[in-house]
Amino acid sequence: MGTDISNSGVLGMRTVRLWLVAVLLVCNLMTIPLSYAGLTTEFLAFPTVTGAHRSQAPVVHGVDREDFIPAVDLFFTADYEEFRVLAELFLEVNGAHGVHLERFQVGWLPEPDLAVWLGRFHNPIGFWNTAYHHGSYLQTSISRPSIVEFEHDGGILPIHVSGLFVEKTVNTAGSSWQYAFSLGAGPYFKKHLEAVELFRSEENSVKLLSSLRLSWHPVGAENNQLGLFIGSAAIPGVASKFEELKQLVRGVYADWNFQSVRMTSALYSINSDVKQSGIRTEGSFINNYLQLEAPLNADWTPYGRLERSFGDQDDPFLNYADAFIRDRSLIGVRYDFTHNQTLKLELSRVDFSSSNYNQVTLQWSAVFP
Amino acid sequence: MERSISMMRRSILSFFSVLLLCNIVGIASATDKKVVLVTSAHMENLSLNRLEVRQLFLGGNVTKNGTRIVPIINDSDPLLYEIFLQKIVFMSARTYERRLISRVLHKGSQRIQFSSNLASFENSLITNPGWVSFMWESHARTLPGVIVIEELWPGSAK
Repeated sequence: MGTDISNSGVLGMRTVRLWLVAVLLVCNLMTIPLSYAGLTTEFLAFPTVTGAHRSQAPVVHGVDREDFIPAVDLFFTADYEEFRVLAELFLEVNGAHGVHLERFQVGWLPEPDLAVWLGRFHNPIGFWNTAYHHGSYLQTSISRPSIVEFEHDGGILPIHVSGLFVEKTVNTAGSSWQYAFSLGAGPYFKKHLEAVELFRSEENSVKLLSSLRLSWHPVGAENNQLGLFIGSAAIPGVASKFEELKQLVRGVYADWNFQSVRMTSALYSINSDVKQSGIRTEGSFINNYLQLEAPLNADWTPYGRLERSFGDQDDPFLNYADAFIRDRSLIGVRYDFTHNQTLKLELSRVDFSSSNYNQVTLQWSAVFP
Repeated sequence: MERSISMMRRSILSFFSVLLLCNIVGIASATDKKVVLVTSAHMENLSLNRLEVRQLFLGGNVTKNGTRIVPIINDSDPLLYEIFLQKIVFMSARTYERRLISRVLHKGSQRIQFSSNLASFENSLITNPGWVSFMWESHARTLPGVIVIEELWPGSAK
């Protein structure tokens, strides 16, 4: 997914050194003054500890019956005049991620409502991916919907892109419109999707990807938004069973707060064109999720989510994506026991193409400072 | 056994009734205090409409006459902060604070500053032209170097 440094599975010297450098970096960043000669900085740390138990060992690559995963997402941003830098480094001890530079963006902001970024960023394909990034604390649930799962965790869409990213807000009477456009190097497919990295890439693995998202935000109810998006990617197979996948993604989403219920939902229509041994096979399927959250008070928020795929048997790419969760039903509760720490408990029924299991997940997450 | 359960219920009910009463008394005593939007005296002609104020405190960009307006949260008085949450941003404290963090995580830039130290808050407001915050009107009237931009909350629903 990101700059994968610890794929060997052994906590080697390189990994230890990186952890040390990261910890030193964090300590240093926390001592930087908020403002110095026009330079302003901000630092955030999102630690999580996640434990999961599954009713049976899944026959899916990369998923164990039990998980215990401490992790931390470190975020740093700095502004100098019209320029901005932001970086998100994710460190995970036992999971599939290891140490990854998830985002690294250098931005030019010629006016307050326009940002032009170069670097590695999260693809604006739907709502979830750019609302929470890797900051687990910010999302109500523990898990992400499978359709926007990170590449390394069984995701089937390009979640990370390296290239150009433009965001523009246009304010009109009573509402604002936000445009997000990305153009850059998308992922390649080995055993699963692998995002192209800034400082390392597989030979012949870089092909262009583009995405466009338009969202509407009513003024006075800024928590609400409706959006639509489209994305197109050519994904080369590297040492895999197919040569190339052409993927076209279209969809709509809503994040809306009713009086005492928040609804987040998205509908994805995915067309796949797989080239294998010179022969092209086309197919498509639809995936949607609906999450409802109903806070009881400031501390307790019960929630539930349904994820469903339709026509997934007809999609040629899904034959290669065995770690993709086709359907999931879950309920959970979030308990915010301090202003910056939360405990979440989630019970889910998970269905892959050829297996399923029940899962219970418990997570502590926080944000500092 | 049943009797002791019933007594326990009554005690719990009484306890919550007292709590409710205290709350009502507390809110009632606050109703005669107005909340105002304030800035440094250097920004004499600054005007912001209610939408701009809301956008500003939700982390949006607001520029007036070439000066970037910077919000600072007056966190020195819990009641004042609660009124700000209910009347200006219409969110609970946790939702609001999560929203600010979420915005920084996505777009970068700095989080809105919270100031619980009144002296330091007043000093920041007076010495930084373009900084904007909220306080009790009675407090603002006695603070040199600060001007009232507008009334945010009249103090009671008369």
